Amino acid sequence: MSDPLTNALVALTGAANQAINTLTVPPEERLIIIAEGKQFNSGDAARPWQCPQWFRTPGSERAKIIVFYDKGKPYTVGDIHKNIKQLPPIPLVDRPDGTFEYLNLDQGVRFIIKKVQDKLAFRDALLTPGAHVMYDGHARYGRGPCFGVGGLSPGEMWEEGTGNGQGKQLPLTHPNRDGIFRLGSKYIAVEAEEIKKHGYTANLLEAIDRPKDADCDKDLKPHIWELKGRTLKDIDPALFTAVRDPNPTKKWWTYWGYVDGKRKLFVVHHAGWEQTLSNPDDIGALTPTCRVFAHLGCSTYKHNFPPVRKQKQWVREGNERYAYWTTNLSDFGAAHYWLQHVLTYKKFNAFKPLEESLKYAVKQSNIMLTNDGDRCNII
Amino acid sequence: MLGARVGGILAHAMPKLHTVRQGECLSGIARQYGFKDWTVLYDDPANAELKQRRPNPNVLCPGDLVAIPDPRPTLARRATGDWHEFAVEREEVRLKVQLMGLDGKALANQAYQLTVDGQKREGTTDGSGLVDEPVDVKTKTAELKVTLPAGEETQELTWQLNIGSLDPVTTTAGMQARLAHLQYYTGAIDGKLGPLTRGAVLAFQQCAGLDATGVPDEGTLNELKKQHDEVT
Repeated sequence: MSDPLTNALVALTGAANQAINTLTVPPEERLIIIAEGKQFNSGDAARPWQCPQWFRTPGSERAKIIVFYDKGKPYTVGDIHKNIKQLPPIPLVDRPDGTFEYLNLDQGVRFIIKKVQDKLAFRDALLTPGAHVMYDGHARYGRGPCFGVGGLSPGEMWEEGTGNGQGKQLPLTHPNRDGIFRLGSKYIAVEAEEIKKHGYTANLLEAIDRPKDADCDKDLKPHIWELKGRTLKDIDPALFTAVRDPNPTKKWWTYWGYVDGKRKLFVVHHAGWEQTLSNPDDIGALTPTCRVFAHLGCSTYKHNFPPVRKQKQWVREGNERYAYWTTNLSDFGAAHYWLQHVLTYKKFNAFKPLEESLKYAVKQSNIMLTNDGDRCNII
Repeated sequence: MLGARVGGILAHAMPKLHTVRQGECLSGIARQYGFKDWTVLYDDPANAELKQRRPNPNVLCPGDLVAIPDPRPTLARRATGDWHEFAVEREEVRLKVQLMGLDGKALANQAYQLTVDGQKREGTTDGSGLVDEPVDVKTKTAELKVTLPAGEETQELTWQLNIGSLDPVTTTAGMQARLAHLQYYTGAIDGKLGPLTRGAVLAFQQCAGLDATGVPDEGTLNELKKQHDEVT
């Protein structure tokens, strides 16, 4: 391993002065890339935690930040994640290139933190050797991380990537910077009313052949034999303008399921992770070379672990290819605790495997999430 | 004697002034003007203010003015018709660099290679991690190499040493250089107190147990000088 030449400005020592020069060995540099995804549309609230601003303040101050209002009542960070108030501040320093740095001398590591907000940059992050990539944003029901560009809505075509943020443009051009980076199962089911609510153009699975178990998202698997073909009119006439193929005579796979005790009609979508319209922006078309990928969107262990770890076979190899997922619906707490504990681990581990520091981050994050009453853990 | 009799009145000539350039120290300036001992310059009353401002004569700042007194010839009486040897005593200057590990411990008994004026010297640091080598006062650069274990691999570190270029800690550039040497600062040594420098000051203050304000106050600079300029 050879580091680039380091310049040092030094003084001489003469008979009458005994001043010396001290040079400390450079720390290991670790790059953390935070991929900030979209919610559904530009009008939707972004995930509220802010890096680096929040981290520079003591947790007691962060806890006072209002993150949303419900019926006029403000809810603070501390109302949702009470353990945030005990977190110490982290002096993240602005660098001229727009990144941030934090020197943890206990670890012997200088962390360089970079934020990215579009799909192309996310893809590049996955392909950055040694990088720790964490995604925080909507999981799109397990399809994969989703991005918008320059404040534009991810558009009606985020199912497949929008083609440069201009809405319904096919064929897609590559590289495109918004829409989904697919890493979910081939077929997923989404509540019909969600299609309308989030205003995207759904690519539904026609009820011809029943999908195979291995191709289905975990939530869909138990319902394969209950699937029933329904026309758009039967599903919801409002969907005629919200689907890619509005053919009134075709039938699409659907089933009745329950959400929070309420009966809902689910519609099966195409959602594959390889050979998609978004290719090469799917996990089938590239093999990540980053060291860590923490997908902290909702329920990613259920939706994305099997495609990535089992089907794609992107598996742990020595000090490479660590992956972390969420066990349930997640909010800003998971990503917030994760970053805080990765940065503040106190044992020396420069140039050593990351495993112990990551285990620490998992354990501490989960202790706090559980104590907060959050059903989500990091796994 | 700085003066000459002009019309029966002793007229004192202004001393010659040398403007310090980056990379110069008093030992080198003294040598340049033919003084074997830099204290002749440093203790000259005309340099009293400089001496007060720059307590380390080998850490001057570009732009500093050094008064150069007239050289005083040494009178030596020798017989004619014979060979005589005259030896010039020169002050020995040394390059002293303490190497510290990331864990805050000195790199004691660490093998190193120092290349000065094209010549490679190999040595081992002492118990306090000190590289201590004589160098010519005119030497401007050197290269210091060490090989350290880094996990299961080794890490080869090379420092390009710009000798005589360290500014006083009271200047922003001098502070930046010291913070960079101690790994708190990663930016350019540009003498500007920007966010990266303030962040480095803050990190240093936190690690040193000082009030973490990000402001380089006197206490912070004293501690920085102590950690950088003294053997720990």
